[in-house]
Amino acid sequence: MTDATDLTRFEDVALPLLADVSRFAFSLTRDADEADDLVQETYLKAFRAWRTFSPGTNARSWLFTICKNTFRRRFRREKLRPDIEKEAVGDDDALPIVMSHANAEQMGLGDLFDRLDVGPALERGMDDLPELFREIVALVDLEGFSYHEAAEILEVPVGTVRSRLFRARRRLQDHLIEQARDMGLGSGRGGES
Amino acid sequence: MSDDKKVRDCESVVRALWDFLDAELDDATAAEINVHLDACGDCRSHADFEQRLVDELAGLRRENADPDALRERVRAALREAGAGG
Repeated sequence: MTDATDLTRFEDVALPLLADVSRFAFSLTRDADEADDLVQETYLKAFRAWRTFSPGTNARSWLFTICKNTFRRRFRREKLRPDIEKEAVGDDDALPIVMSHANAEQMGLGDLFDRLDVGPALERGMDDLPELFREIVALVDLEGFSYHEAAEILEVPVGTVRSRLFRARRRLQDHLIEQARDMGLGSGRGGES
Repeated sequence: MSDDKKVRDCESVVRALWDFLDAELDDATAAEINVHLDACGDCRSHADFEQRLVDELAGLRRENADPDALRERVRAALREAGAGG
């Protein structure tokens, strides 16, 4: 049960975070109208759960967790990918990052960030990312959460956050390299990664 | 190589590179990485390439086109829910 005082307190805490939740909702849905729907549903659920919120804890993380869960239950278009869900966790996920760079260098694209219209290319790359990868990029790279905070929001171990994040970034780098190559930038032969 | 100052090899630096760029390492480890990057052109080049990606991704933050309308919509929904108990 909630009352008018609860509503006032909830609004005081939650509404200042609306822009943050809205950005995250867009990152998840990639659609402005769906994002607004997701934000509204997130806030309604959060209000219903307001009395479970511990004052002094991180309201932003709390709202992001509800937003993520709401997206997964109501808006998710993809089935969970078993190959991503059961991913191995380890430092080996960090090693391939230099392979993208080495591949770019080999193709004469070591300076692709200076030669490619990177923003639109990355937007397309985000569209193509599996949702589990997109949500971790949104949390860490766009919203600035630490690995630990992202792990709490996603309710997974920190090792899973690192694994997904590194693999997502690798995909985005490879996407940029592919876009640059399609545009005729670069030279030489690239190796397959 | 002194006892109190580890010299990192390229592989260990590469393994820690994302954690380094994301400021996830403790100060001592980050300092070791910095020492290596100052001396190793290949690893510095990798780090710069990865940093550019992180910087560009941060630029993808998209603000709501009409935040006032969304705020009013959410407030109205909350008040309706509040009125219903």
